[in-house]
Amino acid sequence: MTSQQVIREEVDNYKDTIYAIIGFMNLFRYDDQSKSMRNNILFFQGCKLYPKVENENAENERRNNGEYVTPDIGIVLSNDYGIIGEVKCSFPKDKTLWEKDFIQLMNYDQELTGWPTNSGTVKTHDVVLLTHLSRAVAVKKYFEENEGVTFIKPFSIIEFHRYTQLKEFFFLRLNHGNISESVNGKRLEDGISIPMNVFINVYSRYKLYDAPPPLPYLLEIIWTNIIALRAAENPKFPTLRKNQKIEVEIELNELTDLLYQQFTFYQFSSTRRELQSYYRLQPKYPKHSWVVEACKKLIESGDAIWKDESEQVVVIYFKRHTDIFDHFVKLCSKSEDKNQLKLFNEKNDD
Amino acid sequence: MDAFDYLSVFYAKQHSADRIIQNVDALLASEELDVRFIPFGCERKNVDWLDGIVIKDRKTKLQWKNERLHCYELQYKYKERGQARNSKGQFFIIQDDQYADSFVVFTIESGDFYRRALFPFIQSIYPIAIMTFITHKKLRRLLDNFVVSNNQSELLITRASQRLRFQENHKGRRVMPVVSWPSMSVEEAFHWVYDHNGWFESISIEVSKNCRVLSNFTFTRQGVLRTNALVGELFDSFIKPICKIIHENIEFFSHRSRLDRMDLSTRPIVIEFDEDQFSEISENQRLIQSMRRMKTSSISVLHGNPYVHLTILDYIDGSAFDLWVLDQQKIVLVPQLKVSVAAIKRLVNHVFDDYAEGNLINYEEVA
Repeated sequence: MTSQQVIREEVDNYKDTIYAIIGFMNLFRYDDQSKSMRNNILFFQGCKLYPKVENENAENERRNNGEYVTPDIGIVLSNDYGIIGEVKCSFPKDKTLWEKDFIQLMNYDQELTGWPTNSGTVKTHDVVLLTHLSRAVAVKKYFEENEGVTFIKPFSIIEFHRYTQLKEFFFLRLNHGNISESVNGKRLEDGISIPMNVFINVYSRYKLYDAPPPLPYLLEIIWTNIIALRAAENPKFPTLRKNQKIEVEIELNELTDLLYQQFTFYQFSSTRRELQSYYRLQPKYPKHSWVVEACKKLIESGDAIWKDESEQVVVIYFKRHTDIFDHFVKLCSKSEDKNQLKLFNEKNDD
Repeated sequence: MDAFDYLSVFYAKQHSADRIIQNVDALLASEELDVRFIPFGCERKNVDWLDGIVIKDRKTKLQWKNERLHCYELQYKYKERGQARNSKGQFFIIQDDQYADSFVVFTIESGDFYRRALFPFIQSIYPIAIMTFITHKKLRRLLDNFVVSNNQSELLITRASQRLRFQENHKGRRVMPVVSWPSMSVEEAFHWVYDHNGWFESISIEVSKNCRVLSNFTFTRQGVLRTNALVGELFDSFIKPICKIIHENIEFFSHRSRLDRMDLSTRPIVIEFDEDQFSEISENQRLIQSMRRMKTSSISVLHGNPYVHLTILDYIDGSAFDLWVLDQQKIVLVPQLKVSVAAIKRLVNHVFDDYAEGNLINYEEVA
């Protein structure tokens, strides 16, 4: 597999993870009878939950010490019940590295505060792991064979994959355990096919979640949707020739905020008053450091410069590319260090 | 003795908008002239901005204005046998009486003026002025309605220029044959083009009744009409419905930007095909190839097989779209943060011209 193919596969995995998050969360929001979304079901993504301790001071101390979890999936079905979990499209070949993922899940297996409810808690919650069909059996086997990996709360493994049958479908099926919410739990036992076309509008808005995206993918979003819009304000834009450029100056904080507001799950909160104040306290993504890395890649390729030594404002040279994504895939594939393709190995590292 | 300059007199007279078409008809009945109509849409809902515009070697000057009818002079430069020349001509613009965003430019000047100056000028004021495109089905419907409303006049195609989609030669370029069909009926010609996955670029038709030729007119996919007679009938049967189409398209394409809404939600547009267009997986590649032929834009292929996900950036005004194919019958266009009516029209136009024609409908939102 060439380095460009590797990048494209990483982008596919990243997008599939987002489709899995959207598909699974909306499973609980969708009312099959009225064929509409239930307004009383909330979901959240990339938000902090804190281990609950009886002593308030101790809880604050733990918060201040950065003891928290940020699940990929968070669903509040009522004040009594929620679901949190992780989506892992791929697992490393080396199974010894899987322990880290399960430890992360086991951190969800405790009483947590910080839920978007009035009390900040739910009475009980399930823990789920969504993984690609191709790894689901091996993951289940790993879980069953490792005695150290145990859960007190209901834990389930859900497998997912895309398939084509006249339409494109996203398929979700219970591979291990149970979901306490019995209606969808039962449906998941048999497997649920979600037509992807019903979520086109959502897929086109939620392009980022709280894990670092492959660099070419992030650069394409920035270039096509933010930099091009700024460049279009320049009267030269419609007549720009291939060898010409338009300078676009943007602060990194502003760029990060725009991506957060326009292309992440944060948007779900904009229509839900109860979530707006909640999201104000949550960490923003893409993280500032991801955006810095994206800008550094542009600087490295001669497509941008820092405005000054503070490295807070970047001047991007907007040019015409016939295939923007392909341009960035090629740019990143040239990088000698393959690790640079991913900004960070694990989202919780910083 | 100098010939009487009836054209200058005609342009100088301040016609009323309600009578101008009849007046042109009367003029053509007495003189051997053609009139050419160019309908276009404009979100500004007036054309006052057109006065004094200079684009390249062309400059406009308002002659007079009478409510929704304007008369302009267009000065232009051109080269002939290596010699630079100056010339000018005049044209009218009428705003549609029902649809304030629909306008029709028309002139009775020579074909040279039309080709060298007027038509390129109207094209150059894009994206402020947006010309339309008439689908194969709509063109057929317009012709059928014309026959019905003109007491079963007979139509004979005297010349037709058509494009066929996906016919590629060994160099990988599209073949765009121009075919003449003397004496072919409308029905035969339309069937032939439809069967060959094509569309008429322009079609010239002889209108006759009781073996008497009443008019020769030419109509293009962009809605441009040229005729030497039956001006009122052709205006009512072709130009008026096109004004309606323009208005409906502007309405349909408007307010699609995500930034238009507080919650940044999307308002996708669906191109729905009558048949299972994407039943073969190879069709995805044909669509992608077709999209890559779209000029002045970036086409990024995020996914090509088994489903299609493209992002498109319009280099004319910065409009951005996502394009999805997730079932056999539909292409879904998702306008991103800021898109213009002109950019949506250009994108849809490209799909219809280069790939296949479908029906435009709104995406039904679930989430």
